[in-house]
Amino acid sequence: MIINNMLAAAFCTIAEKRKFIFFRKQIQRFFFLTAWFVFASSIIKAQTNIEELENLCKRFENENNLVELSKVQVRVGYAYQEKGNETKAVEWFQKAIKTNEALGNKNGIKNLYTNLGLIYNENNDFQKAVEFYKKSLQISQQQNKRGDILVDLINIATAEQGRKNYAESNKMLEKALPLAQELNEIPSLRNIYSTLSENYDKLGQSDKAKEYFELAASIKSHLQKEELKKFESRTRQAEAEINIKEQEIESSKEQIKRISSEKELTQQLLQKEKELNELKEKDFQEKEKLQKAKQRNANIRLTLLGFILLLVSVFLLIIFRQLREKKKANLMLEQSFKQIAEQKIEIEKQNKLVLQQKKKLTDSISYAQRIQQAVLPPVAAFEKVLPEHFILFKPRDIVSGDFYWVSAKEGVVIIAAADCTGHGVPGAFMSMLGVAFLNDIVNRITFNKHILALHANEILNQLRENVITSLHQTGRPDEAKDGMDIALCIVDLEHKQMQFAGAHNPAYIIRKGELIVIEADHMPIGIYKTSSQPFTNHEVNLEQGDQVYIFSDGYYDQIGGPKNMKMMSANFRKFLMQIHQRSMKEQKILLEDYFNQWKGDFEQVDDVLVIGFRFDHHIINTALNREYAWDDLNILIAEDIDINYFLLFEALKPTKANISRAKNGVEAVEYCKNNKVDVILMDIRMPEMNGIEAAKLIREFNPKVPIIAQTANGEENDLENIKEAGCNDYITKPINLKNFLATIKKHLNK
Amino acid sequence: MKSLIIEGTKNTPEINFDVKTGKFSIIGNSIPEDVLSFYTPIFRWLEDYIANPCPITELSIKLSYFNSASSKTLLDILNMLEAVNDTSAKVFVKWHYHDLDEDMLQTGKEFESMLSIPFEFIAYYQD
Repeated sequence: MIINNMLAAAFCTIAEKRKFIFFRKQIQRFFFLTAWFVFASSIIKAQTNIEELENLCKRFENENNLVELSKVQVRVGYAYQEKGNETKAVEWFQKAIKTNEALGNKNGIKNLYTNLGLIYNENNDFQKAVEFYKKSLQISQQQNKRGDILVDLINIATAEQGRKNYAESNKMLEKALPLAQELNEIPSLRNIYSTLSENYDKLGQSDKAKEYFELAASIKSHLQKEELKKFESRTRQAEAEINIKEQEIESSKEQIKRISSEKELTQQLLQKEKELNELKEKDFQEKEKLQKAKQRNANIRLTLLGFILLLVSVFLLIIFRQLREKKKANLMLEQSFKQIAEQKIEIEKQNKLVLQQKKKLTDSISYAQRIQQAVLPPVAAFEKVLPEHFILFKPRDIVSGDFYWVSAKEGVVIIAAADCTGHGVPGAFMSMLGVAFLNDIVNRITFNKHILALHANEILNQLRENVITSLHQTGRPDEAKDGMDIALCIVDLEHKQMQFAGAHNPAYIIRKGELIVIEADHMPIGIYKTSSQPFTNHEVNLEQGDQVYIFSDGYYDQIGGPKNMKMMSANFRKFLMQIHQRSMKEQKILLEDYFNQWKGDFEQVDDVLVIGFRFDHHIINTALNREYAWDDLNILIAEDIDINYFLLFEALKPTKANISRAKNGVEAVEYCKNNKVDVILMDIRMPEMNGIEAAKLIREFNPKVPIIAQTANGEENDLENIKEAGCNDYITKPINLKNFLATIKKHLNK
Repeated sequence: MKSLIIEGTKNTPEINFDVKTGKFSIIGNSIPEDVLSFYTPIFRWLEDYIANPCPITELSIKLSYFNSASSKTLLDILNMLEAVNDTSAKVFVKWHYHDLDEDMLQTGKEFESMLSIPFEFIAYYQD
């Protein structure tokens, strides 16, 4: 505090010396403000400060230390001035002047006079102000300090101006002007000009006022420029300093960065090293642990081993005891295993045997099937007389209890569909019997009478008799019930007639979209309650396109269909009606498909047999070679050997020609003399008279009748003699039927 | 004597001849490979039964399928019972057939025509 006031006082002294009111005021204010700022919080303290200073003055007074007293008195004056107590300030400045006078310090006195002038000037007491300023000027002039004189002159001018004593003010200023110019005190110069301008303005001398105003203004702008320059240079300097600082900061930042990054790196390295160390430590610890664990394990193992050994020995003891018993049991088990193994081998053997036997049986049955197939009539037997036909034959097993039988003789076809009791092998036995019986019966009957006189029921009656007799059936309930159901047709192709007889199994005829059932008798071929009654013989007139079906019950008794039921005859008939317009071959396929569809996943219940044929009269005529219809022709066969004659006779029979026979050449010549003959078939080698001689003789009385010679292979040498004898042609034995008939026809047409 | 009970199989019918009530039944299929081996014990049993029959014997036959050998055997069974019908005891047959199975009805009718015992024909409708 003291230092501060002292500093202020010191500055004030400098300012006083310069006698620049303007500046001093400012500086004073500055320092007072500073002081104020520093001690703002304690104005009371300032009060005490003045008291202290006054006490200090009393002390210096008592000590008679005038140098220090003067200084403190000045400070007290400033302190009061600052507080606004100007009277007290003036009083203390007066005291200081007296002290300085005693000291002979003229500088001090001069400053104090200026100070007093300033105080009076401030309080508009311009007269007193001028008075004190002039006292200061006196001293300055005595000392010849030109700078001080300038300041004093300006102060007086200002105060004179305040007194409105403009001319006096100007007087002072005009004295100050050359001094200011000389000393190059630019601010003072400006001050002088502006005050002169103001004064001339008040005096009404506007020209001079303007002149000094402009001078003041130019100095002002110069000063301002100077100020600006100073400021700019200071700014530049500051900027430069700032730049330098910034650069320094930047570089230090970088440095810091570098350092920090280095630090970081170092830290990282350290961290790494630390980690590594930790790892090493861990590893070491682990190893140690492992070692320990190993040790522990080894210990445990040893303990366990000991324990196990103990347990094992205990178990061994127990097992050993049980082993004896087990050994016994094992022995028994082993024996039973052995037995089982033996049994297994035995079973395998038996199985093998069974398989072998089965194979033998199957082979045997398969062979039997071939025999059955061979016994059944060849399909070719149908082809000639009933080309439109089918036989659907599906045995349940390899061999069948169902069988069909066909015989075609002299324009008559006998067809049978039979179902023997049982199927498989027993059924097949019965079927063989049936085939054999039917062959025998038909041959036997036709031996005695013409085939046209044959009756269908007659065949069934005899078949039943044969079965009963050969199976020794008596009718007892517990004896074999074997026998068969059968449907049998005899079709007379030429006369368009059909006979039917049935044992249980009927025949269906589809005629013009209608199905006719020809009922069978309700009794079987075999012993039965009604087996003494004859079977019924049905006779039907056939029409062109009639379709006839005979069958066993195996087809419609098949279980299956949507409801797992028997198909039943009604469904069978319905299906036949659906397909009857198709060809017979198509019908067979459709029937088979329908059956398989019905059967589905079920087993086939029974053997299946369905036979169908379409009656076609025109085909029958063709079959009988009606193109050689020689009904009214007489043909003479000259042939000594019976078998040769029969062959020719059979060949010519379908032509319905009248055939006569001559057993030698003489008979042939004789016959020709007495009868009309259209063709002569002349054998060459005959007893009594050979063919060549006979032909020569016949030509003598009948040159036109065709004579066809019969030659055997190896008789080519006879050909010349044959021609010489007058024969028209020749045939070679054994004859080819087609060529034979064609040759005859060739000569008939001539 | 004991009642005759034989369980049915795929190929042989269920036989239940109850001597106490006189209600006999043959139900199922009859298509055995060897008809005699199945039916002979039945004949043996019937021989005993005929000697001491119930006052009324009612034989229900409900077969969906039987082969021709079985057909003849059935007729033999009916013949044996027919003999009982002649004496003081009475026998009659209930012949069951599927509504659509006219072949089965036909066979029943055929049997009826050959026997003197009364037949009752009963159609059934389920599968």
